[in-house]
Amino acid sequence: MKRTKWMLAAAAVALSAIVVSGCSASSEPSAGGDHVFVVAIPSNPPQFNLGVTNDGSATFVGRSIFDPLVNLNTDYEVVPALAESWSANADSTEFTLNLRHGVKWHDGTDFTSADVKFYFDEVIPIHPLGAPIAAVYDHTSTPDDFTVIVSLKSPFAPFIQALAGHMMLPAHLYAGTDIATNPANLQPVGTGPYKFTSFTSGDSVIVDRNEDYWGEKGDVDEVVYRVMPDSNARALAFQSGEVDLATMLPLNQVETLKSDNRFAFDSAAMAEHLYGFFNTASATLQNADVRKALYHAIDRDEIASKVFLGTGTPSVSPVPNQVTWAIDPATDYTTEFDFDLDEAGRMLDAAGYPAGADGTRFSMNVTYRTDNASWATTADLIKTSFGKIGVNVNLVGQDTQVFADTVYTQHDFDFALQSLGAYADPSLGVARAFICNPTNGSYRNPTGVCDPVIDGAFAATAAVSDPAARLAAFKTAADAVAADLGTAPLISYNQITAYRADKWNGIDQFNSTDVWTWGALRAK
Amino acid sequence: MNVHWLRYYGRLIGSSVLLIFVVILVMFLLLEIAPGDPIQSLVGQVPVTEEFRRQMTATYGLDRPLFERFVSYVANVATGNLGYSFANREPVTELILQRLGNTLVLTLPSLVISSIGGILLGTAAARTRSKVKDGAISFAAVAGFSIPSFWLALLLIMLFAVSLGWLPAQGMASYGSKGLSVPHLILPLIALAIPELAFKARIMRSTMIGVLGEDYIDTARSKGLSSFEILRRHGLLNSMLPMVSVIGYSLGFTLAGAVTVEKVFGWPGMGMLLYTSIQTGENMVVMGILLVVAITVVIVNILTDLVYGLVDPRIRARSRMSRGVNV
Amino acid sequence: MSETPLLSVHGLSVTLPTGRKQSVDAVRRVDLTVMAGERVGIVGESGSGKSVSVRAMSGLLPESPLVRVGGSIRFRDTELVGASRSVWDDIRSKRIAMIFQDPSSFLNPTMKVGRQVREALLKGRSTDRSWAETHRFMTLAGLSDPATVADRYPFELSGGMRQRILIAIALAKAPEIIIADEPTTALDATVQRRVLKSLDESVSQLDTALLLITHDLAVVAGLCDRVYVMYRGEIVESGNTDQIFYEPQHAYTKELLRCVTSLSDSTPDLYVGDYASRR
Ligand SMILES: Nc1ncnc2c1ncn2[C@@H]1O[C@H](COP(=O)(O)OP(=O)(O)O)[C@@H](O)[C@H]1O
Ligand SMILES: [Mg+2]
Repeated sequence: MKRTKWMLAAAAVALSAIVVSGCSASSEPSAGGDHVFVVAIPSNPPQFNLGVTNDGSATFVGRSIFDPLVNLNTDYEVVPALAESWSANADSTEFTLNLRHGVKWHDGTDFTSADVKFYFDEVIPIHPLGAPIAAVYDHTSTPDDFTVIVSLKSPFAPFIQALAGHMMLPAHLYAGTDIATNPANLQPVGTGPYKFTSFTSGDSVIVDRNEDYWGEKGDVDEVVYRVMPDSNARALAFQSGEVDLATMLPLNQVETLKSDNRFAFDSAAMAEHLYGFFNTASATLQNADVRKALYHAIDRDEIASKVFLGTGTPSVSPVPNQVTWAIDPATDYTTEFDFDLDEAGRMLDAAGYPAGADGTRFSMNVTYRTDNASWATTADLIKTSFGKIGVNVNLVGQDTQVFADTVYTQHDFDFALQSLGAYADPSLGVARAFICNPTNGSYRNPTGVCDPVIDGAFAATAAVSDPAARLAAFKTAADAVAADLGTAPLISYNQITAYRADKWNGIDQFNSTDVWTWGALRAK
Repeated sequence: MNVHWLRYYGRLIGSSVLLIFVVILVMFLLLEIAPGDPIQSLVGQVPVTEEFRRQMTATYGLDRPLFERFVSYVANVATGNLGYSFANREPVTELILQRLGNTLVLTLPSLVISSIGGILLGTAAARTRSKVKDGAISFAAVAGFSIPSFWLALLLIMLFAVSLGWLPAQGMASYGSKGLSVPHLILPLIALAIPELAFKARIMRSTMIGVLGEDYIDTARSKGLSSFEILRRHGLLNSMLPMVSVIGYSLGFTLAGAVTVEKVFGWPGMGMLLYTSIQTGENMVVMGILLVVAITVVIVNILTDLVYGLVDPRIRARSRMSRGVNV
Repeated sequence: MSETPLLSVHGLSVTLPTGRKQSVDAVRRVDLTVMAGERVGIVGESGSGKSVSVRAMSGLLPESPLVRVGGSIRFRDTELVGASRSVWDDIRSKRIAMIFQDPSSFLNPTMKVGRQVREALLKGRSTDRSWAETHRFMTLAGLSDPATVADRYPFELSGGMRQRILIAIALAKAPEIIIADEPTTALDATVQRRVLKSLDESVSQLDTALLLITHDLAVVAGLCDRVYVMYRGEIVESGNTDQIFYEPQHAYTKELLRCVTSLSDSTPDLYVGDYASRR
């Protein structure tokens, strides 16, 4: 009896030893280690080659490993990065870039004009955001290692702006390979402030400071990107001190966190734009006057305060409010389409939709994505205010994939809410929500509006470089959009970045361009 | 080993394989009509350039007819190849295997804890003559079972990670360390096990009440056995029969529960992978995970059959006979 | 008959719940005595309250506060109505044994029958707690190869053998009285006779009192000294077996006897055991 018990105990000990040794691990942090900065990312990055993915989490990570040729600051001004200076010919068809000297890839290879030429020749055509450049690109010549001359087939004024966000890839690893499946996509080699160290799928990415970085080096020795898919749990993890920086937090949680002085908040540099897409193929909404009447019936001030909690403002033009240089002072949708239920009612009467005996004019769907609670609240506010003018709203909340399918592919909607990033230049990120989309591509204009005036105006905004001329073209576009109103700009806002003010200085500076400036980050 | 034995297991394996084939067929067709564009999932939520679409479609044969793709998928599955993940640039099989271990670390202990806990709690509720105690356990069981698991998970984080600061809120281990740390395991385990434990406690309670009403319990009482002896010697084993199948089925529920729990706790398992893959429309990965779950459930059903035999001598004898062994 | 009775019941009444608010007076004002070593029968039609009465005597009524037991049940000098747990544990494990009606449901299906007999032995009065002793009681109950049978599960045995296991469980306590509640009703005729014979022989051998419940007067005639007749929850007649058989007083008893006689005309084989022939 005793013997059996003893053997059982031994077996139990052995078993637990196996389990422990199999599962537990080296708990010492990896190389470096004094100042660790933990960033919460909202999803598992599929890989890190920003040449073929636009995934948000991959972007967070990739932007610490790679460098672009130029950056864009919060005032939407171009600032140097790998390109120290640049010039253009008079008609914006040829651009010369002077590269920084002495920059090395993380594997020790020199960064040269060959890398840039490779990028234009091979990556731009398949890059998710490459289309505007690919459409006009002709060829690149490299007179020496540090000079790049890009020739375009037709004028493209925002060429330099369009380069922001394009992170350079090492030609010596990618040339002659399938870029989409290259092993370097999971073992990225860049020129950026941090070197890739490890990636545990679904869990975390670790990068360590590049001691040979060409730019200013910050205090952070190691950045850990932790995958935290649930936005509420992410906010709680931030609150519990596990995280130094978190984005895409639920706005109501942000309100709560604001009262804690350990935390501070900053707007991300890039503008986001919430649009309402009217389906012009719908029997009722094919009438532009009906669409305009409904635009009048959306209380955008209320949405800005209740949903965005003051972090957004009602949009005055197709271009988000933050990009002031592209908005003509004469354009103001908030007065042109002010919130006015009486006016909306009168317009619907005139359009042939008088209120019936029960006060109802017609019914319509409002389709929104369920991945972010903000859209559901927005849709709900719209339902309430449409109800006041006799328009019955059915709310249709959909998962990301289903939404993309019903709205962009099937066109099975009446009014759909979608937020899209504005990118570095409004000619790039904004135009897509308004110009003709004959191939039914996703994340582009799904309204069915195909207006040569709008298309022409947006094309013109990209074709000239003179700021006044560009402004005039944006004005033309804004007027044409207001006349047709397939896509209704609703709210301009920025993503909020939450960070630990008690541990770090320099977040303003850090967050001042579309690519984080790690050199600005100082430990307290 | 003889012919009967081979025939018994041959039939079992044959029907399991057929079942899995049907599962593949149904899922393949369902995912075919479900929205989701693998090439879109490749780039994220931005417009796809036509050039890129052409290249990828050709590379991965996405333009082939449905039947052809199905046949090659089944042929691949037979060799353990579950296809290719576009978003992750990795074979689905490898992707799932990386995550499977992390999910098992969570689900197996949860299965054990919820089973043992459910049996003990259910027995206690069935046994007690105090209406208050029985009522309290029953109420807790209903509450534990009907509480949405994401809510429970957030509640646990709020209490133990934010307010008390005792346990970490996210992930499997501290940054930089690989593998598993026990403090990280505790909250997700609780969140995953509680609903299951509550469910099993309810089943156990009603089963045990039924068993304690059986005639042979009167025989046991007539022997002057104490109520604990009656429970242990005559109640438990007889209540285990329904519990064995409940525990078998519950593996499926636990794996489903792991999707929510892994998402909320940032636990890098198969559930989180499934969640992400549904979000990004990665149908091949979704299909692969569902297939792995289906196969697991089939295997567990076979195991359940075997355990049934251990618990019930009648079934043991029957299968012994069908295997042609002399009784 | 001057000594104190082994079991004496006075004014026993049992009320059982049949719903939330309803209840049934299953047994009313029952008086009954059993002397040490005596054999007593209770006859009565189905539903007359026989089982409820003897379950009250052996402490096996449903465990519910809604079950109400009135009157007095004394085992020797111990009052059992309202007795404590420890008193009941002693009564159930060592003094009063029960044999139930249906051998298919009163045995634990997942426990080998040998262990089920042994459990009774270990709790009972016997000082020899060996497996051999267990097997001895099984033999006494009429099982010819106890060691082999002990290793079987109930489903592997015939109905008659199972009933013998129930008898062995009762015997193994070495009790002072065995209450057998229709022990053979569920068995077919030939098996019935053999099982009754085993019961008869083993009770004689152990010198245990027997309280035999049946709706079959023929069985009582061959086995018992005295008989109580129950009708609708009450004892309507009692007396020596012969007396009841030849001079029934109560109309219901006469009715019962008519059934037996007509039965015995066609099958004239009343159970006649050793005990009866010795008498
Ligand atoms: N557990 C019980 N709950 C309620 N009523 C019962 C219960 N057991 C028996 N009865 C009722 O008590 C009466 C006597 O039953 P019983 O003693 O079993 O009769 P029998 O003489 O056939 O053994 C019957 O009317 C029966 O319906
Ligand atoms: Mg009865």
